[in-house]
Amino acid sequence: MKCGAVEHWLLTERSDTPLPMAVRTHLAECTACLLRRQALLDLERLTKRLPLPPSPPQIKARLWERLDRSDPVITPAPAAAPHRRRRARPRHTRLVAIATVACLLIGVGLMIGRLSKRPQTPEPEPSKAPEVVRVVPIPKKAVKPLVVRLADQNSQLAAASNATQRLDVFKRMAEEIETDALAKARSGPVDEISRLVQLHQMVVYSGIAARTSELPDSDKAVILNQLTRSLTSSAARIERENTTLLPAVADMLKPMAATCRTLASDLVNGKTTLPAVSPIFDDAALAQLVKNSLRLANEKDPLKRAEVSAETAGLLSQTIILFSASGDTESVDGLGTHLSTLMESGVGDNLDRAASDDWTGDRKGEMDLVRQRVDLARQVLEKNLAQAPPESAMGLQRVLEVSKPGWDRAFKGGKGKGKGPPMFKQDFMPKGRDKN
Amino acid sequence: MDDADEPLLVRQAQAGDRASFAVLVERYWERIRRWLYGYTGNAHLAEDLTQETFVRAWSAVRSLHGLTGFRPWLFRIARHLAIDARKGPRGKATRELPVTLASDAPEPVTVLLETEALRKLREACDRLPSLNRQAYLLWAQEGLPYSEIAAILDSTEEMARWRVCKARQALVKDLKDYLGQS
Repeated sequence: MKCGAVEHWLLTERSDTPLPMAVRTHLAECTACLLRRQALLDLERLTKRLPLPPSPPQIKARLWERLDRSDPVITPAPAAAPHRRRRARPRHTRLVAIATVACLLIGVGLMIGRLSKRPQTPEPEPSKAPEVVRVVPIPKKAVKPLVVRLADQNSQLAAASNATQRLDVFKRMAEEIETDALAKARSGPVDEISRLVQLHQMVVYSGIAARTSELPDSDKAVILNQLTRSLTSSAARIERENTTLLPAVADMLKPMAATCRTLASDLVNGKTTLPAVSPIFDDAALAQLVKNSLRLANEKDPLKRAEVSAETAGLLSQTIILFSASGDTESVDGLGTHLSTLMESGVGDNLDRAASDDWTGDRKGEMDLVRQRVDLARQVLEKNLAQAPPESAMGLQRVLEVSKPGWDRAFKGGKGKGKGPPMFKQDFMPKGRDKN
Repeated sequence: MDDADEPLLVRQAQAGDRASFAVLVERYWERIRRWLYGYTGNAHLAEDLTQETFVRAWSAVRSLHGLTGFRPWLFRIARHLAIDARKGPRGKATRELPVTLASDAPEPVTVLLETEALRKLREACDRLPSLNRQAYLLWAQEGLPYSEIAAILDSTEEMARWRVCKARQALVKDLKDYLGQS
């Protein structure tokens, strides 16, 4: 087992999880990983000890007062119940209660008056007063638009540091597209399904399949095995769904299942030649986002990666403006966060790497161009903010605030000393010892 | 903490038994408040939101069905309230004065180091992307499994795992001078 795999295991498991034999063996030999483990143990211990300011007891007492006032649907508990102390209510509470009853009476009176003025229509008289139900619904979060979910994956791709992580991102991207296509197949609009099927094929072949050859030999067999299972289960899911759909709609989804099955069977048979994927000539944000993600994953040159990320940032800025104009604040906020991550990991970190590789300073001009591109994306947001109506302006303002660290990082990128890979590179390495 | 009786307590609360709900409040009050404090960075806001969470929970407990456990459901209510609060005028997260102010009494070096480390950790947590911070605190402080974190954050288990992983990476990097010393 190599350091990367051990690090990943340590990062995702709790300290009390028993160490697998492979991890234990590695830790016995690798001081750097042992130190990492110790650091993570300390972090977990410290987090549990983070102080919490004391809370005044009357806060909880107020909760019971509020519940006393506001739960006509629920039958009162026995007098012995804890916290339910029957006591004379304070004067102001009584006044509030009287005022509430008065308001209700006035409201009922007004309603009766209005009803009596209506033209006589045969209406069944209610047999009893309507039951007052004070159930406060939990706000139900709508499913985020696909473009927001793909932007999230794109920003994670920019932060991914190895082939395994990149493969995971493309797997999630394919699943997001698949879920969206199935939702559209069930409740429309169905005319978008073909485009989603095409994008899915692109992600599966050019994103997932292309990454399999980059996997480290040590973990390859396990990861490919998981991938095959996941692809087969995706295909089965689509096929199962197809049995409930109209035949014409099911036909549209069939290539999606076929793509999953083809790659799964190629992986089982150890086939490495990828089928040719027809390029998508589609300028819609969704297609652009997928294409940029593939470019980002295929590009080895950090400066080119920064350039692709800057291009995606411009695309996200445009998309944010569209969402803010339509009043979708949740998507605006989500995209703002993804934009910030993209700026930090996709632009800033890559510019740093490019600068540290550029001994001669030949590529300084290219780096400036990337920064200009980033600046342009910000200007687009600022310009629209200046002219936006108040309801859109709030969202755009928030995006600019949320993404500020990202912009700052992107502008600083490549101007100082290169940072190198995002974590653990030198900080925990004992001198004179190599990372495995 | 005995969670085995939780389904029974929830069913009784759904039937209107306030005593059962009181047990649930006692069980989760501090956990919800601690998580909200970590999330919002504002103790007063966290208190208000904790109270509001239980008011909402009491009003809507009948709508809770077997598919979702009480714990993720409660944290989801808290999270939605916190999101709404952050959109409002008081939403700006501001870290308040530290709870324990430094006294004049001399303190052992280890205690000072620990206090400093905790302060740095709080600051580093504040710098994490919001969703990563929420996921990490649920994982590290509340000890929730990834499946529940995913349910609370409206996300997938894989994504929850990724967020915790990224948060831990960032925190270890930020606190490198304070970790691994023991």
